[in-house]
Amino acid sequence: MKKEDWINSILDSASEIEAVEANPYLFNKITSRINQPKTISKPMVKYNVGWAVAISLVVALNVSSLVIYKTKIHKQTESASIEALSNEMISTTNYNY
Amino acid sequence: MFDTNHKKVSNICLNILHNTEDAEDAAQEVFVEVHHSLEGFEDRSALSTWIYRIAVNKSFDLLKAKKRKKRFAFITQLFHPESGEQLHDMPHFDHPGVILENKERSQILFGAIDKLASSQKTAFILLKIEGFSQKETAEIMRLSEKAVESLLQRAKEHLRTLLENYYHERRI
Repeated sequence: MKKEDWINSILDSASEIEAVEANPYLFNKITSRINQPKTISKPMVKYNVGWAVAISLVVALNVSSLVIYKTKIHKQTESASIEALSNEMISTTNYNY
Repeated sequence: MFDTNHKKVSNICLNILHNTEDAEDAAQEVFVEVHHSLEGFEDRSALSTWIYRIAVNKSFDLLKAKKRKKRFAFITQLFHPESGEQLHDMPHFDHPGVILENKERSQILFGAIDKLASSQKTAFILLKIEGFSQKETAEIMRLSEKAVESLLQRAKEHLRTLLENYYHERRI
C-alpha cells in the first residue's frame, strides 16, 4: 500500500473506535469509596525516592573525589619531603677516611 | 448525573490511559472528586463539561504517576540488573471498542497518539475519537476554538511524521 494511503487509513481508524460500556460495578465502587469513614492519618513528608537516590549518588561521588584528591596531594607532599631529605643527606654525607 | 456521564467519562479515561484497569481507577477518582467538589461548582460551564474536564485532568495525573514509577523502576534496575523485571511495560493497546480487522491499525494509531504532547493528545482524542465538537472541546480544555483547531492541526502533522517513520522502519 502506498505510504500516504497507509497513513490516511491509520488516521481514519480513529473514527472506527466504538465507545465501550463502563464496568457495571463502577457505581457500587464509587459509592463505597465515598461512604468510607474518613481516617485521621498522620501527615507524612513525601519525598521522591528516585531523586533522593540520585542526589545521594552525586554527593557520594563528590565526597569520594575530594578524598582521593586530598590523599593524592598528601602523598605527593610526603614523597617530596622524603626526596628533599634524602638529597640533603647525600649533600652532607661525611666520609671519614 | 452518574447515569448521564459515566460512559463518556470511562471512555475518555480509557483513550488517554490505554489501559482498562487504570481507566476504571481514574473514572472512580473522577466521580469521587465530583461528589466532593459539587458544592463549589459555579455554573460557569455545563455540568457535563466540568465532569469531562476533571476526567481529562485525572487521567493525565495518573499517566504522570505511572511514568514517574517507570523512571524509578529504571533507577532500581541499575542496582539490581539481574532482576530484568519490566515492572511497567507498556504493551500495545488493544482497545475493546475496536473490531478484529481494525485492531492492528488502531494499535499503531494509539502508539503514535501516545507520543503526542498532552494538549495535542487531548484535542485529538476529544475531537476525533470521542466525537466532541470543536466548541465542546474548547469548553472542556478551557481554550478558544481557534486554539483547539491549531492543536488538532499540529497533532495531525506530528502523527503523520510518526507514522511516516514507522512506515519506513517497518518497510510496509
